[in-house]
Amino acid sequence: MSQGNGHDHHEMSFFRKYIWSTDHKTIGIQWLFTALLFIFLGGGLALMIRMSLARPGSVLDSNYYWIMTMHGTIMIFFVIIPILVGAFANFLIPLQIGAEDMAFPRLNALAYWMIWPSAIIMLASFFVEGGAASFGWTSYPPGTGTEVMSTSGMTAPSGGSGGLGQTLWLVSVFFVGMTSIVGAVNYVTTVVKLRAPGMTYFRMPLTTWSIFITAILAVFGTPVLASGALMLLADRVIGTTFFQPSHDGNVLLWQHLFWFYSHPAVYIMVLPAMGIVSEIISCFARKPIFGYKPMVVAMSGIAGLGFIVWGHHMFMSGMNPVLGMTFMISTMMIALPSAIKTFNWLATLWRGNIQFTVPMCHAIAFVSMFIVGGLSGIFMAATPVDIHIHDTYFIVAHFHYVVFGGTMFAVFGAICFWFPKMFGRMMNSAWGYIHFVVSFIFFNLTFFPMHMLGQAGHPRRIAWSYDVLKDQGYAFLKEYQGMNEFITICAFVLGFAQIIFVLNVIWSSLKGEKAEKNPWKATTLEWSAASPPPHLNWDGKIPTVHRGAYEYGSPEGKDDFIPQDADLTKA
Amino acid sequence: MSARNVTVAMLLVLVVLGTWSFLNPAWELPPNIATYGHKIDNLYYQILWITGIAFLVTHLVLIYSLLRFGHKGEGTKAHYSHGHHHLETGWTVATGLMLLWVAVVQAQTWNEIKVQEPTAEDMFEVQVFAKQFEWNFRYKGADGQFGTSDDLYSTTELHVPKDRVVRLYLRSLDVLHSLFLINLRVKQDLVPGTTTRVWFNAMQTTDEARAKYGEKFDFEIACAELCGIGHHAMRGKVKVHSKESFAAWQKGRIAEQEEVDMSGVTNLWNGKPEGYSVSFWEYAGTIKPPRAEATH
Repeated sequence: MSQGNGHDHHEMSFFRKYIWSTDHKTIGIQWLFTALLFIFLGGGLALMIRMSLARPGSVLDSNYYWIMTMHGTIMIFFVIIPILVGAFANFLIPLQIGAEDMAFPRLNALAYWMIWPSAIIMLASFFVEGGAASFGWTSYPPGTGTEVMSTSGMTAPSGGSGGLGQTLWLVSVFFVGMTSIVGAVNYVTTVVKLRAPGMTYFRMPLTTWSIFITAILAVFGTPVLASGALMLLADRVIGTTFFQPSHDGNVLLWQHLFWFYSHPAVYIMVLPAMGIVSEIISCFARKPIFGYKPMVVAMSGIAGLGFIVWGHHMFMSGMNPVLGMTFMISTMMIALPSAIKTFNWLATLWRGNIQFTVPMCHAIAFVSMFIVGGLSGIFMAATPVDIHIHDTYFIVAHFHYVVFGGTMFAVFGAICFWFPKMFGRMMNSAWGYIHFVVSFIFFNLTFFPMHMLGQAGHPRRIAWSYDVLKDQGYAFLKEYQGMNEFITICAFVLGFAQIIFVLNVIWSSLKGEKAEKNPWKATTLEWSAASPPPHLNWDGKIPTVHRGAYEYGSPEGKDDFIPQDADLTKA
Repeated sequence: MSARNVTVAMLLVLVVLGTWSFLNPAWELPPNIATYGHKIDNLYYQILWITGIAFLVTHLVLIYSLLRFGHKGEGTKAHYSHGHHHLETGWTVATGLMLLWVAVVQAQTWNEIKVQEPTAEDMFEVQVFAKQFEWNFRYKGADGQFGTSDDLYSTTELHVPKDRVVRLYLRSLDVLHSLFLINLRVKQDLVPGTTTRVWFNAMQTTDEARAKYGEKFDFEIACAELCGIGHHAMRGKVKVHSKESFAAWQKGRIAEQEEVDMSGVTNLWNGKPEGYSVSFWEYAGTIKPPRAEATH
C-alpha cells in the first residue's frame, strides 16, 4: 500500500486492470482510444459537410445542419479536449512530476467513465425524431430554446432544434462539463500536492505546466458553461424564459455565458499542445527550451487574458460597440504571449542540434501552422475588419489552422513521442513520415484556400453557396465553386490519410520494435521509469529531482543530456 | 530524401504559395460601394502586410534553423543556452507596440463606423425584419412616418437611394439572423427582443455597377448567422437607385400595393402579440408574414 490511496500491489484480473482501472496510465490510454474512435465520426461528418458544399444537394439540406453541428460538437468535446486533457494529462502528470498516481485515482476513473453516458446521449440524439441538434456547437437561442414556446404564442422555429435532439445535446454537454471539472480538480491537486522531492514548480516540464494552467482554466470556466446549459435546458423543458425575448429574457445572455467558457475552452484546446511542442522541440533540438520562465509566464498570461476576451465573438451581435473596442484591445493583448511563445520555439531551434524524428516533424508543423493561425486571428480581432470577415470562411480557416494545424499536429507528435512509454514499443517511423507528409500537404490545401473564400464573403455554416447545375445560390460566389470542389477533394485525402496513422498506432502497439527506457535520450522524469511503467510507476522508488527539466547539451554532462533525477555528485 | 529536406521543402512551398497568394490580385476584397468601406479595406490590407511580413520572417528563420542546425552526429552538443533576457524583452516590447498600434488604428475606424451615429438631416430610414428565411423591408410613405397607411413594403429586395445616409432598424421575428451586405461592408445580427441598427451611404447604383461588372450583377444580401435549415437560402439583393429611378420605384410600388390586399402585411408589421411586453414592432409567429406573392 502506498499513501493509503487504494492501490495495492497484488496481481489484478484483466477486468480490474483495464476496465475498472484507477491507474492513471490505463485511464490515459482509455481516453486516447476513445478520442481516436470519435475522430472518425467527427471526420466523417466533416467530409459530409464538404460533399454538400462541393455538390449541392448531395447531402439533404435538412441533414446538413445537424451534421455540421455534430462535427463541431464531437471534435471539440469528444476528440480534442479528451485527447489533450484526458489522455495526455492523465498519462503524463504523475510520470512527469514523480508521483505514483493521481491524487484522487477513483475520481479520475469517474471522470473517464462519465464521458460515456455523455457520448451515448449525444449519439442517441442522431436517432430521435427531428434529428440531432442543428444550431451549431454554439447553440444560440432562441433557435434552440423554443421547445415549449408553442404554448406561449411563438412557434418552434423550423429546422430541427425544436426537437428532442437539442435537449439531449444540452444534457450531454452538461455531463461533458462535469467530466472536465472532475478531471481538472484532480490535475490541480496532483500537481500541487504530489510532486517528487526536489520537483519545484519551476523545474516542472512545460507539458505539466500547460496542463496545470489548463486545468485551472477548466475549473473556473466550465461551471459557467454547465450552468448556462442548465438554464437553456430549463427554458426548453420546464418553461423558464432566461433566453426567451418574448418574456423579457435576454438572447445575448447565452452568448455571454457560452463564450465566457468557450473562449477559455479554445485555450484549453491549445495550451497543452503548446506544452507538448515545447517538450518535443527542446528534446530534438538537443537544447534547453529557450526562455523557460517566459514560457510559463506567457501561458499564464494567455490563461488570465483568456477570461476577458470572450466578447470578440460578439462584435456583430448587437452588443454595445464601445464594449467591442474594449474586447478588441484585450484580444490584441492576448496575441502577445502567443507571439512570445513562437519566438521562444524559434530561438530554441536556433543553434540547436536538430534531429528530424517523426514527433519533431509534427512539432515543427505545429509551429508553422500556429503562426498562420495566430496571424489570421489578428484580422478577426480588428473590429472594423471583422465587420467583413465575421462568420465567413475566414474564421473557419483560422480556427482550423489553430485546432487542426496546431493542436492535432501536436497530438500526432505527442502520440509518436510518448508511444514507447505508453506501449513499450516504438512506432513505425516510415509510415509515420508518410502520414506526416500527406497530412501536412493536404491540410494546407484544404484550409488555406478558405481564407480566400472568407475574404470574398462566403458565409460559414451554409449548406452550399452556389449550385452550378440549378444555377441558383449566391451569384457572387459562383466563381468560387471550383475552389469549393478543390477543397473537398483535398479534405477527402486528408481524411483518409488519418487511417494510416491509426493503423500505425494499432500495428505498432502490437508488433512494433521493443522500446528501451529512454529511446529519445530525454531528460524528464517519465523516461526514468520502465517502458511501459509498472503500476505505481517506479516500483516504490520515487526519483529525486536535482535540476530543471531541459538540461540538453549541458557542458557538465558526459552525454548531451542530463536527466532530471541524475545525481552528478554521486557519479 | 531525408526527413529534414522533405520538411524544409514543404515549408518552402508553403512560404512561396502563401506569399504568391497574397501578392496575387485575386486576393482582393469584393467591390466596395460604401463611403466608409475603403477604410475597412485599407485596414484589411494593412494587416495583410503586417501579418504577411511576420509570416515570412518567422518562416525564413524557421527554415534557416532547420537547414543550418541539423544534427551533427553522436557526441556533438548544441549551443547551451537557457534564454536571453534582453532578447526576450526586446521582442516582447516590439510585438506589444505593434499590436497596440494596430488596436489604436482600428479603434478609430470602429468608432467612426459603429459608435458615432450619422447626423445627416435627410437620413433615409428603413425598418428590416427577418424571419426564417426571408428578408422584409418597410419604408416611410409621403408622411415621413412608419406605421401609417402609406408605408411601402418589399421582400428580399432592399431599395435605397444613392448618396444618402441610409439607416436600417433591424428586428427578428423568430431566431437570430445577421444582415450581411457584402459590398456595403455591413454586418449586423438581428436579435429577437431588441432593435439593432446600422447605417451606410452607397456611392454607386446597381445600374452603374452592372455597367462595370456585367448585366446580371447585384449587390447581394446574405444571412451570416445560422438560422435553421434554410439558412443558405436566406438571400436577398440591395437595389441602389439614382434619385430619378428611386422615385420611379416608389411610384410603381405605391401602384402595386393599391391593387392587392395589404392587411396581412400591415397586421404583421403593426401587430403586438400576447405575452410580449415590448409594444414597438413585435410579432407573433402565428400571424401570416408578408410574402412576395401576397404583395404583387
